[in-house]
Amino acid sequence: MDVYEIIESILDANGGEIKGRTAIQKLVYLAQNAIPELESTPYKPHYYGPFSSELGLALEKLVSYSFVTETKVPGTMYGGYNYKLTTDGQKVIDAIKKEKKEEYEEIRDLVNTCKKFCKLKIAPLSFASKIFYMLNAHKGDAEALTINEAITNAKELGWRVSSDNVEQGAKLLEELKLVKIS
Amino acid sequence: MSKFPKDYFRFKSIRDPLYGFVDLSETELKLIDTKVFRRLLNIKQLSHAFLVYPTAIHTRFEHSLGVTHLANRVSIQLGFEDGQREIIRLAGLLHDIGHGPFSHLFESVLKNVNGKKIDHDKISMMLIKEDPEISEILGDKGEKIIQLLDHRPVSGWNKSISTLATDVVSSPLDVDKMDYLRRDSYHIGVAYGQFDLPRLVHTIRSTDDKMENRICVDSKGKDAIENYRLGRYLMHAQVYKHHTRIIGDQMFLRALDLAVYDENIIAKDKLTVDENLGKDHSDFLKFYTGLDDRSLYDLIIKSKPDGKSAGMLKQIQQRKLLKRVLDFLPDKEIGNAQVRDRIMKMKDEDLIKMSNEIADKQGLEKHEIISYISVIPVNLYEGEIMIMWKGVPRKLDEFSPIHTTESTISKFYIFSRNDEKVKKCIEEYVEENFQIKIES
Repeated sequence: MDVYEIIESILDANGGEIKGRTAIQKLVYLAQNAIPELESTPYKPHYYGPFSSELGLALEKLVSYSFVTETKVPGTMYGGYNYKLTTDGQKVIDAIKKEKKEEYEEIRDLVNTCKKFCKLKIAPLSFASKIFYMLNAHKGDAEALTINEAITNAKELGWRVSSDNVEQGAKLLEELKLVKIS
Repeated sequence: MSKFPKDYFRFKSIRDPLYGFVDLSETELKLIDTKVFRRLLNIKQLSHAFLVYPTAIHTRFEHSLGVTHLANRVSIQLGFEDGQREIIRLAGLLHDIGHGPFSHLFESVLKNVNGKKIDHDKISMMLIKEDPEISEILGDKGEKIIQLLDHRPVSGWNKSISTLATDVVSSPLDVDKMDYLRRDSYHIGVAYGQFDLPRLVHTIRSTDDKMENRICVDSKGKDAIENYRLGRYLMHAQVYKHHTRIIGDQMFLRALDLAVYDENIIAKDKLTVDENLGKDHSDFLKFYTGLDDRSLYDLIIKSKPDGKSAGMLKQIQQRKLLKRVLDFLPDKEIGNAQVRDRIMKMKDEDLIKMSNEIADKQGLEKHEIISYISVIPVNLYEGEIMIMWKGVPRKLDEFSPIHTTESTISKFYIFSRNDEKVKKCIEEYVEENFQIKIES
């Protein structure tokens, strides 16, 4: 499944819409790491955690090609943006659901787990992604990182990770079966 | 706090059209006199943009000096101590030494040969580590520069200093972009890329809470950022994605493909590289650093003067370019969702396949039809530009009065020779495959 299809699947799995492009970034990041069949994109460490410009561009293209709408959430200054599948976007994802059933279902389960865990709020998704980014960066090294070392390294990248955040992020990673915490 | 001698960073001053003078340390002066760095004098910043803008012939060399100058200004603004400032300046100076002929275009050739993206910055790091001249000049500073360019914590530095320093060199608000927008504008003679640099630099600060140290801009600099953002968009629309530059670049890439895959002028194994920095890349680097804009044209044209690749490069030299036979807006003009989806996901190999099909139908050589989708992202920066608002870093998007939807501007081009029969065939192909009515 390519990055466009992953985004569309994530939106569909959450009733067709998601609030916040950061939430989409982090959900795709977690999905790409939890589900090996999905096409991956390169990530760099940004302020809100791992960020992929390829994924950002794919989301922009989905909007300009009218498969997803983007609306500013009214009310507060920090409301962010809401992303919603259009009728055409729904048509495309309906076809993907049939064609790539297993991958879609795995994404749907991942979104449901995250939803149950944190209602897809940005902070816990970011914490989990930041911690996992560190674990992943050292994958294959002679000495793999423990989760506590990953947390320390996430701090070294300049990411704010308090002990509460750590617990929350680590717990989400465990629920997604991305890490084992002994 | 370590303090360097007063004129440490002013060992030599070099004239620059944007900044008046760029001051260099003795180490930096030695570096720019190395063979690898001087090679940048023959690598144009904007590849084939000179086919549209004749004065777009400035090079990676002067851009690298400009980046060093801005790295210094931003480092002072952010309060880095001298030892750290030196590493940041050196990273700015050397960030582009890994560029191949015609800058980013050569990355596409490396991607085809290696089956994955090999960025020029990876090659810059290889050269910093392995080039005998450069590594000798840098000594133990080399490793720190590599760590900075590679977004890793710098050995011996406070961790939050590392992240801030990385942002100066590589982030949505880095000194690379600040230099090239204004420099490209200056050399081309357009005003689009100009923005209020002094205001921007003056309002740059760090998020500064010991743990979360990233680059951001004080709220007073918000409008300077908008200015910068608009400048980036206009430069993309008017210069970087100009259709004549696109066809020059694409013809060059086709010529290189022919030279590598069909005519064996450049052996594939010479361009094969392992991106792992721990490996030895001496054979690759020896060949690679022998290439620049001029030497690559010469290599291909002199090796097989009557070959197809030589023929294409000569056409570019004589400005006998393929013509824009057809263009349309794939996101706006295609009604059918499935077709629109298919076009949105088209990759380079799909476009080449499509061009080859049309060429076959017309009995043309494969390289005589070129399809290309140009994409301009409206936001024009990767990730987040942060504004410090009432003591809290916030995304620029949350404040911007210039609301941009998360959207791109895409254009589908097909280039070929200016021939009515070929044009008709292309139109028929597009109408049939993309379900769009072409108005001639």
